[in-house]
Amino acid sequence: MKKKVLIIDDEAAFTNVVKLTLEGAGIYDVRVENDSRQAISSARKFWPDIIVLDVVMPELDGGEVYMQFMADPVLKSIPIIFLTAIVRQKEVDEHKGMIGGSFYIAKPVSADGLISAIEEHSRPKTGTLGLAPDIA
Amino acid sequence: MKAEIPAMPLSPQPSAKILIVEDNEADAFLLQETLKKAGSCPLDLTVAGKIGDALRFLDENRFDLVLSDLSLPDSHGMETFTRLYAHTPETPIILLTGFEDESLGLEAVRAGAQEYIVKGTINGKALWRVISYAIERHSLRRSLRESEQRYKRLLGSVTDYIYTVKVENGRGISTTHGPGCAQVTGYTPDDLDRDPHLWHRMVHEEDRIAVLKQAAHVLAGEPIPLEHRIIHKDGSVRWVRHTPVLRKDEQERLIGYDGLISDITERKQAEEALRRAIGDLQQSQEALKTAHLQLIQAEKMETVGRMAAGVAHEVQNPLQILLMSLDYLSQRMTGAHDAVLDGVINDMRHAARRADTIIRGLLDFSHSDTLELKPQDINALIERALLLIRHQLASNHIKLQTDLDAKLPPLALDGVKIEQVFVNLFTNAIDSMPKGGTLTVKTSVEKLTETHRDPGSREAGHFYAGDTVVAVEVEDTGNGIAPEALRKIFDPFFTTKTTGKGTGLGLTIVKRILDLHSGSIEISNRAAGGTHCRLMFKARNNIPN
Repeated sequence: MKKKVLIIDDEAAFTNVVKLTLEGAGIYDVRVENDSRQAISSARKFWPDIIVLDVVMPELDGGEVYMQFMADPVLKSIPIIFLTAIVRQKEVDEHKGMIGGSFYIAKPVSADGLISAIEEHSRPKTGTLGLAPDIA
Repeated sequence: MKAEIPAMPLSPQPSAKILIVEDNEADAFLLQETLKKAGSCPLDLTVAGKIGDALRFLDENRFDLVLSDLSLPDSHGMETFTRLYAHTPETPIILLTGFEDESLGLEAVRAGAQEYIVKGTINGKALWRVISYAIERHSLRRSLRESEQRYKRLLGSVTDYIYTVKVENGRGISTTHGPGCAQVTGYTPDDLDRDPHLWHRMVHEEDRIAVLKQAAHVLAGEPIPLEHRIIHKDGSVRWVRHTPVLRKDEQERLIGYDGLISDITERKQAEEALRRAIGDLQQSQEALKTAHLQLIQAEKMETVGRMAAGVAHEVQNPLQILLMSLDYLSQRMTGAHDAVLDGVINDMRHAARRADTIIRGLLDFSHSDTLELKPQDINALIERALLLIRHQLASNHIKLQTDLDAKLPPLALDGVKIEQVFVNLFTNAIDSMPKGGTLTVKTSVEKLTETHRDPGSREAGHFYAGDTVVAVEVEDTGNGIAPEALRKIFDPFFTTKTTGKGTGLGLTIVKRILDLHSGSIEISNRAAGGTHCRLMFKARNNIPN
């Protein structure tokens, strides 16, 4: 079974090429969400193994979306990677990729870089909470 | 006989108001008639038969003349005159005497009477002449007296001191000092007369030679004015303008000279205040210029900083799309073996990466405001930086010379950023020596002997005489920097490197980092060729507790 990746970013051109790239690798099933307000409902419908979350977005920003996820008893256990232009790779490196308890990748990231991060931080395909994907 | 007191005469001709003091009615009548006939101007005559009445009339009126007989019922001889004169010294008195009173008349004139006339000896016209002369003389005398008083008052109030020197055979032989000397010098003319050397002692010792020279010139016939100082009697120093005026005789020989001495202390003080104000103004202009430069530099940095942060964020996203898309495309292309397409995609990748480097540089620059200060050994940081660039040294055939003082005090530094500074400086040095050369790095402790101000940096970049500093010097034997470029070397986006090699932000960031550490950086060309870079860090009060 392919790993499920939910990518939440308002830039459609970006999410499009990420989907193409990741699915091109053959091991991922990617869902794209460009409207941050729909983040929670998308996650509930898709039940990803990992979420890639942009920080600077209109409507709700990455931080607010994150809070929503943490407040959800079911969704809060899904690993989240922040992918953002507002930190520099140096800062990420200095702090071993963690800032404030969350994983960060600095934009721009290469396809390989993104894939390694996903592999490193997603939970294994098995061992989910055992809940049906369509519980809303 | 009492005459009426007439109203003020309105006639344009002068009139004379005369008091006749004569007890003999016939004589009085005769006198009046004589006067009326002989008088050349309107007359206003009053007659008093007794001294008592006369005095009363004098109280109530102003007369132009008193014509009085010496013997009266209530007064005789000199007594008459004395009483009249005492009562009205302002009015001319002519006495009428008998033959036997002539000596009395003389006495009275000496005592202040204008004239005496022996009765019966004089006719109307002569009498009138005497009277008018008496009135005129009296009025002239009064004018003279008033004039003298005015002159005296003037002289007394003059703030200029005038002295007069008598000259004989080319030498001053005596000096008279005018009353103004008290105002100007504090000494009275008496003080100066009694002590002929007082004037010289009064002159300020630094000006004595000039004053003597002036005197010599005057005696030689050249009246040159001089401004000099004197010590006032009260101890204060005063400035005076000393102007000599020569007096010569008909043969043009110098017979004397006057010296006019006026106090110009106020003017001098005003001049001095003006000079100082101008000096202050110039100084504050300099300070303003410096502050202006600082502001410009700071603004440049901040504008770029702000712009950088905003632009960087905006550009990161499209860059990310480009890079990711290029990766995808090149992945998809590997199947079809098209060298041209490969080349094009590679070029695009490189271009995107270059854009990325610039953006990262911008972000670095705009984010470099916070420091993590820890006690560091700057030699260790230098050595780490050298390690990072050692391959470049080798590949460019550059010799490394180090002279790192082992006894440097620890400095509070942000290790990462300072290392970045050295990497940047070393890289610039290497880039300037494409055909090889020598890179020299020296560290030392120094005590400054003069104040050092960096006009392009804020207050923190100032070092004062007596400060202990750690100095780092980086030298290369490369191409050096053109003088016009030296001025702009720290400007954002200014680079002397070829397109694509430098972002132009390196030294700007270096300077920013130095500023944040309250340090300074100076870049100059070496006389022997190449560049010399000197960094200074304050050693005292540097370590946080």
